[in-house]
Amino acid sequence: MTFNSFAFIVFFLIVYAGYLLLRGSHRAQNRLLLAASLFFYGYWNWRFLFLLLGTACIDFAVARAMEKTPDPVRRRLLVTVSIVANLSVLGFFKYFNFFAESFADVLGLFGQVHPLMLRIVLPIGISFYTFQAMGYTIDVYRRVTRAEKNLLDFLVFVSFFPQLVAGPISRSNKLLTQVKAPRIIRMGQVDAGLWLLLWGYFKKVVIADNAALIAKPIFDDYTAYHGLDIVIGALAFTVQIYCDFSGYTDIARGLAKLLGFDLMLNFRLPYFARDPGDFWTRWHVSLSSWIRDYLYVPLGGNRRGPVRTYVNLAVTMLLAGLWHGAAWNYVLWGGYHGALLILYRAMGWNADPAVRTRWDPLRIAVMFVLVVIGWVFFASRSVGQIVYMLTHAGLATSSESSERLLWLAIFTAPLVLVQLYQHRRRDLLAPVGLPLAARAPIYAALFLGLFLFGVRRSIEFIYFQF
Amino acid sequence: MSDDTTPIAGPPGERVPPASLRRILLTGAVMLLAAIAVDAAAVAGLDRHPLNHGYRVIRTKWALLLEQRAPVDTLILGDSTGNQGVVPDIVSARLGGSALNLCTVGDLLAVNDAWMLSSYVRDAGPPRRVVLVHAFDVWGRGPNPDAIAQVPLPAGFWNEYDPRIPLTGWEYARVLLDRYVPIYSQDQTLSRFFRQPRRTLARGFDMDAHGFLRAHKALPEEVLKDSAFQIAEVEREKGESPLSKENLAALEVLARLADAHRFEIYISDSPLYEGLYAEPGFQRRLTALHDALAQFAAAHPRVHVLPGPVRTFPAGQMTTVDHLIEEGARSFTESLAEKIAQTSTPVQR
Repeated sequence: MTFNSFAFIVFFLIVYAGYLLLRGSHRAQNRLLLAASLFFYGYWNWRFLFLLLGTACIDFAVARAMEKTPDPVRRRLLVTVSIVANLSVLGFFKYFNFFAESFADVLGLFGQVHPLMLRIVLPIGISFYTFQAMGYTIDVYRRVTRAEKNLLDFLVFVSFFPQLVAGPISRSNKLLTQVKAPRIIRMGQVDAGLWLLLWGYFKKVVIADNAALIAKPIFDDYTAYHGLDIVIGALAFTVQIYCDFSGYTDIARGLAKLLGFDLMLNFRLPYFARDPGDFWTRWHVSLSSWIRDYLYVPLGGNRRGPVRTYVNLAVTMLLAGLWHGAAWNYVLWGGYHGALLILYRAMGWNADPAVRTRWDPLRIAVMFVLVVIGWVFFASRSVGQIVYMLTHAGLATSSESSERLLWLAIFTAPLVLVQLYQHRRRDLLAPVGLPLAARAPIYAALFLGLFLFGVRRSIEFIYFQF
Repeated sequence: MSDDTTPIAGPPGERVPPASLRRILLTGAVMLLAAIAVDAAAVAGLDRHPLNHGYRVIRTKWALLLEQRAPVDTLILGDSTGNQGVVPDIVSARLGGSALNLCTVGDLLAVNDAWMLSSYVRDAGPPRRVVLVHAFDVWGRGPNPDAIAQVPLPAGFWNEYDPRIPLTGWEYARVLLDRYVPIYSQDQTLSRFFRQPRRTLARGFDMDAHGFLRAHKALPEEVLKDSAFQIAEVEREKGESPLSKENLAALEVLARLADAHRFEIYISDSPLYEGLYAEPGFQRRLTALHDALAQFAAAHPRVHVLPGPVRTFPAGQMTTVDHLIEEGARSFTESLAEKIAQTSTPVQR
């Protein structure tokens, strides 16, 4: 059940009606949320509910056991159990075939080897919920948070349906705290939630899915294209992946707000970033901050000299790339961003976050181009494709270039206008605060756009595969 | 370089502005009103100028039917293969008298033939003969609410005209959406119009006064693609009945009308792409259909299945595996008229 399906809309309306009816008891609301979340996940494949519940119960038990013991060795052992359990599940379902194939490729240098390949179905959202649960046990280990005593509340925290399959990856001290407390749904929250739903759906079904109609044929049959068409394909994918993923996040956050929850910001105008470090504080913030807090900092971060910092950056970004998918193009994409982070840091090119300069538009433009190149790595299916696309991009046009460019510009125009306003006001909810005479026509135009230009076919969100 | 030292403190955050129920409701009301206004404009516009080709055919043919005041000698009913494949002027020249092509689209099945014929008999009188031309795959299909919605008769007509088509609640809702909410039901058509208004409006619709829709440009590549698709479909549909219950009911109604008003009904194959016809699997399916139709005709003396061979054509004369351009349509109509002439019994009035 995806957010852009009719089934989901019916599902949410029913759940929401029940949720409002139970507003006198947040415990009853939590029971409803858990049932709804399990139905939401099981609707796709009920067998994987056992996996979700199994890993969640292990993390719950481990955290409880950790809290009961002051023994640091025992605590370390327990947190290791949790990490190994989560990573084993993730590794098996997501990476088994990748590593088996890669291992066989290496052995193949010394003779013919047939890798052991399994027909494994990737449970949707596994990368998101395992990281969320793992973050919780590490926080309990670090004594940043207390172990949860109520299993029901903990299961709601892990399986909360708005963010279950594609994030944001929430922290226990933010989401679990809200699960445990009675919720008061304020009008401002509802207003903001409705905007996030409208804008999120618009970004997904109008902008992303139409951009996909331009990008997909070019990436699927890349050797048939060259010059400007490849540039247009890369730009279209740049728009598609941002609107697809941030659209999902907006919908998730909008639904959560209607339910009285606040999920963390996941996108903060990433294409306005001035340098790679800035980009990663704006793009998929819940993952980048997770990786910073649970991987980069424990590796030593930037505290052990420049060389070690560069190594840490490289390792962190390679693993961040691998998190996205079991394929070399994602690893290369992560490596590319790691290289950018190292280069900017080594050259002292990073912008001061507290200072705006007149060179900012140029910095933003350069960073945007670098990000677009990165998306070529991300969207390609082989190294050969990456090389082809990067070496055949140019300004030579085909008979269809101008039409492609025109439609990409038309569908991207609302995104640019809204984001320029958000950037100028330095407030992602700035459109909500517009005077009624300005906001109502904008809402109406977006609403009509959903009908008239939305791609009705339920196209899965890109990040579902991760 | 002089720096503007305005602090920006990293990426933007979000501030939830104060809101009131009134503000939310007013915004919602404006959204709804805008949607209703655009939808009303779309209903009116599409009513006058349907942009969907199939819907335009249905409306044009029904309008042609409703303006008839005297019966023709040969009434041609069926789907788009007949719409594009049978030239009434040639039928008139070969069989004598007048001819009218009221073929619409396959999604309306033979059910629409029965609806049209009963309406025609009531308003204009019975024709001397009726020719039915349907594509091979139409005979096995069930009803399509989207197409039914386009028949310009008052809502609920499907429960009043024979054969009756009982629609489920969802199907009924679908018909209402099709008729009254085109911004939802015809979103792709409207989207195409907004994207390419001139190209959409300029799309050819070359229909003569007797209902023949000319296609001018052959699409051989499309024919080959369609052929491959049809071959795969034939494999997939193995064992399915060649005649759906709705089509069988429609044939019963047509046969009853023929008996009551003493005219003959001739059922013809549609034209076919030669490559598809050469496929053994396809021929098996066609034979099963012929057997089912022959069995029906054997029990109804005024219903005749026109004898073979099936008229086949090269891809260069077609737009899909069973749709002809004008050149092919003329040739197909010549052979159709010849078969009717051979099969005709003296007209008993």
